[in-house]
Amino acid sequence: MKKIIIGGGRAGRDLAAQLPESIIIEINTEKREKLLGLAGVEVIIGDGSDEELLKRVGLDDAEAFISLTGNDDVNYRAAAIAKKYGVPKIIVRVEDPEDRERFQKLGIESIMFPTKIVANLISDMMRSGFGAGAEATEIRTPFEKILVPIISNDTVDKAFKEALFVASVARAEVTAVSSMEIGRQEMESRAMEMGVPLKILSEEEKLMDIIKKHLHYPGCIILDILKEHLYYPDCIIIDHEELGILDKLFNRSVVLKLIKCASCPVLVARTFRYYERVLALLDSSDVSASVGRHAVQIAHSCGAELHLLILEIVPGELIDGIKKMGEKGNVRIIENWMEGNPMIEAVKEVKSGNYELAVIPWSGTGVIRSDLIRKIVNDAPCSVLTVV
Amino acid sequence: MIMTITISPYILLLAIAGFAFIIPILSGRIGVPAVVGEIICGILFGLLGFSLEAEGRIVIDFLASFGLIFLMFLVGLEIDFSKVEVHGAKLFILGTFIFIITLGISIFLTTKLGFGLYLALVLSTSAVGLTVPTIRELGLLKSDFGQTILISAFIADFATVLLVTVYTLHFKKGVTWEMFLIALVFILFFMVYYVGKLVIWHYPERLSAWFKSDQPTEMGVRAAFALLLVFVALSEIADIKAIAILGAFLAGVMLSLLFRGGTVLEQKLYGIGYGFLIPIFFISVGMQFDLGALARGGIYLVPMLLLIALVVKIAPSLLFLIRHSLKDSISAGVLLSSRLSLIIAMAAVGLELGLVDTAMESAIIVLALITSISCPTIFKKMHQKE
Repeated sequence: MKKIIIGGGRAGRDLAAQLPESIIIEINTEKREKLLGLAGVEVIIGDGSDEELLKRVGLDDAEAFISLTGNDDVNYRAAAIAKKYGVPKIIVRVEDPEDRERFQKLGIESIMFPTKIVANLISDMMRSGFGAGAEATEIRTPFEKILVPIISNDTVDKAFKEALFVASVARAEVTAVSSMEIGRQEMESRAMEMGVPLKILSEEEKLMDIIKKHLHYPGCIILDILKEHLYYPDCIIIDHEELGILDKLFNRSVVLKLIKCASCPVLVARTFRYYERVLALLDSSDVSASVGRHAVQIAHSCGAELHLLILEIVPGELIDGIKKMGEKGNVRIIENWMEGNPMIEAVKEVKSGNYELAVIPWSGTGVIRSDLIRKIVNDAPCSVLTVV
Repeated sequence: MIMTITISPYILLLAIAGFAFIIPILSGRIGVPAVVGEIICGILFGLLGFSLEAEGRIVIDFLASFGLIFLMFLVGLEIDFSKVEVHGAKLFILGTFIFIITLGISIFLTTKLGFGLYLALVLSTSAVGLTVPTIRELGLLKSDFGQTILISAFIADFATVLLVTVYTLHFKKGVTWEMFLIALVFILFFMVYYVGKLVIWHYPERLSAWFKSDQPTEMGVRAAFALLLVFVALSEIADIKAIAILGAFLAGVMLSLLFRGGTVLEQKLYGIGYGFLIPIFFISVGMQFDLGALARGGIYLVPMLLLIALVVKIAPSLLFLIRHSLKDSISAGVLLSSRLSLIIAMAAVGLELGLVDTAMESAIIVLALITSISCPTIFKKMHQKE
């Protein structure tokens, strides 16, 4: 399957080197020489936003379309053509974060802001180089070891895909627990595309079969499998599940059981792309500090905006701490003090469709009730990170 | 010589409103709950010999009766089930055991002393309305100890309201189809709760405005009243006040479950309740307080009731020793011994049904007055930081 890359600069060249069967389109003839040295890559000199040219190179049956030029207008036009021809995966580089809405309206699911991500990375490096006290001022990456339980074949396109996005910006490694039957090669190739280190812990049986067998087991079988492998992740990313009324009544949710037993944050994947707007729900519980920290770290890594929804009176130090952390990490923070009913306002915001990720406490003593948390985990339209 | 003055309900309402305004200020200065001031004020009204024309009596009686129902609604609203959820089943089980032992000792003692089961139920109550502010004041609200006391008080109040309802229904009508009304109230409760959750999830934008302070039509208050009256009206089918109380209590619990922390709406409801209807109930209780009956024998019942009230709460609280010190366990028992609104409400219901006489009702009110002042004070002294 073809992968079309627009823009033969350094990023395009490095990417093409990692992607077999890719076609690279570059407008500048001077770059042709360098590009021709790439093995297995077809190089075409031309305008990447020319529909006729794209049709000729086989846009119709392309598997992925990645537009990486330094010009937002060219990327926009190219992405619009790819969208028109129904390319399943479109990834676009956007230089100016203010252009975000234009691309979103186009329906592009994966938009990257390299300027912001690079600026954040450099600022991290600068801080870590300041010697004594540097650790205190550095924004840490949210996670270093991410686990993805490959529950079904679909997981590779869902939770695993989202894990790769998170890991690529957080500079984390991904470990997948999977049965032998599920496409190992595909996972490895995708991880390589994204430059994410991948480990696969193999199980003889399908994970879903193991889970079904241990449905009434009081602990969580997934976590027990990890212990057998002596693997302790700092985040677990799992597919969201469709629950029927009976499942809800009899509390038969694999995801909720996992979150309940896990001692690390669990991310329920629904977005499958980079996060541009992150929502953090804060109340007076002790977990709120951890919710704020994780939200800032993720927003920082993704170059996203962070919206804080403060649902009740919280200590001033909590908000100040989050804001200071945000300033250090170049994260734009929008504070929203809730007026009205906290439950309703939380639901309204989570369901607004304005966010790709909601960061919420899993259990606390604040106003966010556990039945609301369970509802958000089960039914939110965006990805949900539960923090303990 | 006592002179009987006949006044119109509006003049009496004016007097009540005036005192209802002054009492909290005075009570705050003396350091007693406003309810105590209201009952004493009612007793003084009674002593002065205020009586009402027949028509006026109906108005005040209705307002006092609705005040009682609204009080139970607000007691239900005080119950925060998230505490049970957060602290898990262990505290819930501990609280349930404490209540079972309380009820057991209470039945044993009242039976031995020749009183009926109703008194045992009445003496098993707690006072969530006093427990919450006391624990909050000492900064124990989020501690394991504070949560255990709160859950124990919640369970005691919830279970007593339920048991009193079942008992009075059985007392008045025997085992009839009306027993199913209680089950029906609970079925309705779960149905409304389930539908309410769905509505919150699917229509948050529409509901959001109900809880904002600038809502001119006060939809939230209207919805709360409608919810309250659905339960009360259903309960009225059996013509038993206790079911109306249970209905109101469940309506409060429902509102708490669905919209916990809806501060603006809660404040409005507290305003209507504690600012108008509930003072009428307590002043009315004071006005009907039978000093003669108290003097004729009720006064001698007070020490006995006080002793039972303390024993039935302090002895089971020794179960707190599983997780806390002896001093903490005893202090928890002392705080749980405080009674106020619920016990007075139960006494009023009992009097109406003839389950307690006026002397006992007066003694119960005096017990409430004593424990509501002394028990939280002793608890605070025991936990004061050196």
